[in-house]
Amino acid sequence: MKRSSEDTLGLQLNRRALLRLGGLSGAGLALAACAPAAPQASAPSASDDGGADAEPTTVEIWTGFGQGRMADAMTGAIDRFGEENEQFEPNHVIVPWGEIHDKVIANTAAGNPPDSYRGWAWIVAEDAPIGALTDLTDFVEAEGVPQDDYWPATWKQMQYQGKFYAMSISTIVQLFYYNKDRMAEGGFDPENVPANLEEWEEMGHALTETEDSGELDRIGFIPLIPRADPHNWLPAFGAAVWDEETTTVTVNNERTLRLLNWYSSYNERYGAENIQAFRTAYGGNFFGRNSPEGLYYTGQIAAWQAGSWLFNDIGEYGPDLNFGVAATPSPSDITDGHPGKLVANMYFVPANAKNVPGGFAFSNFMSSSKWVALNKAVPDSVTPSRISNATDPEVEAAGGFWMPFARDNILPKAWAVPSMPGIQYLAGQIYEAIDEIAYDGADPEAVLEALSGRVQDEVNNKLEAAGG
Amino acid sequence: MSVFAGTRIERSRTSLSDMSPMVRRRLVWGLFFISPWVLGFLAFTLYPIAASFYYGFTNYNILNFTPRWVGTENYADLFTSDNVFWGSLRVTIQYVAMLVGLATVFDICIALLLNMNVRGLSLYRTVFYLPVMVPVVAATLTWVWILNPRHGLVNGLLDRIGVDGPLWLASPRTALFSLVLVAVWGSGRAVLIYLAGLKEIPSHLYEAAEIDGANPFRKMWHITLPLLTPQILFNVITMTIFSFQSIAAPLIMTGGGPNKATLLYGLQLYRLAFERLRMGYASAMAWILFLLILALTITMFYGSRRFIHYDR
Repeated sequence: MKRSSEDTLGLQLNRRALLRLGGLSGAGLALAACAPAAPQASAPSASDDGGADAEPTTVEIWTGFGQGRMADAMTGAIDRFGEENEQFEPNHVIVPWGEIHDKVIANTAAGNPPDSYRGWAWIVAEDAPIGALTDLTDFVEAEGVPQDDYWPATWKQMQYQGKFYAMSISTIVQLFYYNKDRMAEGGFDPENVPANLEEWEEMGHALTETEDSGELDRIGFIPLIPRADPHNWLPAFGAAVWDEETTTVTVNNERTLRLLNWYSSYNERYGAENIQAFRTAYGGNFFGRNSPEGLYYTGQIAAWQAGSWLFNDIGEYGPDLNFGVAATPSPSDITDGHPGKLVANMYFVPANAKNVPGGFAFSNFMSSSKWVALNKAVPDSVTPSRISNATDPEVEAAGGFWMPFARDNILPKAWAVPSMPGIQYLAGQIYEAIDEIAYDGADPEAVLEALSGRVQDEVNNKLEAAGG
Repeated sequence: MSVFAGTRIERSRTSLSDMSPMVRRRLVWGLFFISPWVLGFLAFTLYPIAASFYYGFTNYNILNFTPRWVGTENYADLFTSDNVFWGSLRVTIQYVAMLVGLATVFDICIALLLNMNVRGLSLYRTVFYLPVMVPVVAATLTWVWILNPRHGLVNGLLDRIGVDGPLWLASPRTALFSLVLVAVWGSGRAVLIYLAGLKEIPSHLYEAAEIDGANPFRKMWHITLPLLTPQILFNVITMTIFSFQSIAAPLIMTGGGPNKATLLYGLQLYRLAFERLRMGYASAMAWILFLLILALTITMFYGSRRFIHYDR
């Protein structure tokens, strides 16, 4: 049967028409993808405050405070911000902590980020050089944010190369928690705690119990539990990491080598697989921090280092625990060690945020408000970043015994995690180095040299991609 | 004009002006109705593929809208100086080899059992297909508990019969094999395909073999397996492709450890792209994976021609 041209519709023509349509659509999509990003932050002006008749503008806020005590405190803080700033209407979006940073980056690239989100100090150095954060310097200056009211390390962590990219609400310090009952049980005086790392180690070994097979039953002190946390132990060993002026990674030094050997000594003594098995078996949710069966609350771990945030967890889930806190110890011959790391909790305004004044207003509110210090930082058991808030008698009375101890003994000397692009990569590389030494029998010196090179490459790559 | 299978096909060349209004209308409506798919294909398949090919030659962190052209530097670095790349490739090849081998044997055995006439067959078939329906995150988190070296179900059962269970995910020696076990557990989709293949084998072949005195093993070896080879080839190829791309299980269960024992290629690629924002480098890795899978697929496809029996 003969087909008419109307029936066949002409194959070649169809293809052309389809390709034309496809080409047009593709071009449209490409143009859409290349559309200019949302307007950058403009300098703050009086109009940002909004006139009496102006409609309130929405401020989208992302945090991971989804449930429990901390979520209630967050909701209260956001409500308070709305009440005190009628020109803004806050909208709280809960994003799981493990995803929040990745999602913000993806949304920033797509031009649809939140106006403010909660993160940590390391984000400043990771994201500012690649253009993922809004420069808040003009806002900070216009607002007259007082430098002398911040802990120096916190003030520094809010900046990258002299510009402000974050407002800190609070500062986490690491505490060395010890179980007094376990110490007494092992014949140690819980009121007379060890003075240096060697003494803590001696006690830790005495309190560690293992099966004949090597399986770990109860932990005295093993620095690989809860995890190696190099950002905490590097400063305790007085190891240098980064030269900001020359953007050089300086981690390949004697102190870091000593630290690697120290970690490895525990793998050799107790067996890397036994330690890993203990972590795998019990390590979920930071060894059960939100459960009465948590290993530290039940005494299965006698001493470990963790953030001050654990303090209120103990009150909630292990109220009967007889415990104390100390500063992260250094080896006795190291006199320039720091009592662990210091990480500021931050609020950021991502690049391309739609409401930069609103994002800054909220971030600054969280950073400066005494109400927030009392009702958010204290329930989170972290030190408020403003000295005036941290030393306020009402805040001090509401906080635990750890707060004045940390404020006066740890915070001023703690090591501020540096503004180094690739600082998280460095930590990951040290974890891998510990494994390499333990499982492959690699030479620590060679491992450290290779590690240092990789981290420097990472830094260079980040700066290069950012055009720096 | 073109020639296809010995038949001349006259292609008509028609321009829009030659069409009647009705045909043009039909054309427009036809294009309109397929446009969602076309747009989706262009935006979410063709454009990302083309973009990733381009990004593979750049230094790109998703926030710098003008990626810096670096030529073949990413590929050169991967091949010459990136030990983690080679390590993850080695681990992935081990994983794929173990998984495809074990899953093929396991799935065929299960399909053979499900092909028997026993009471409650529908229930058994459902049970073996259930893992496919379970969301991967829920399944892997459950397996983390099942394989817990101290309190897990598996080691608990082994302990009851006096066997000291392995450390499973906690040891570099057993972690990869643990991931393979979990993947084999979830391979019920292949069982269905094998079962369909078994159903298609004509029963008269078995009857003839029985008359010739063949025992069950010989029937299996000379009839069942040869006639199941098309399904085996299909499943081996698809399973190879998917297992090279595995990411969820190692990401959730081990994070690539201990000591990079479970650092699969997909996981390393994900980390480079989304944790370290090295999109250009990760794109180059993705293209290498694509070419590797393509080469393997072609090799399997052509290499297996002598062994595949399509005639029944």
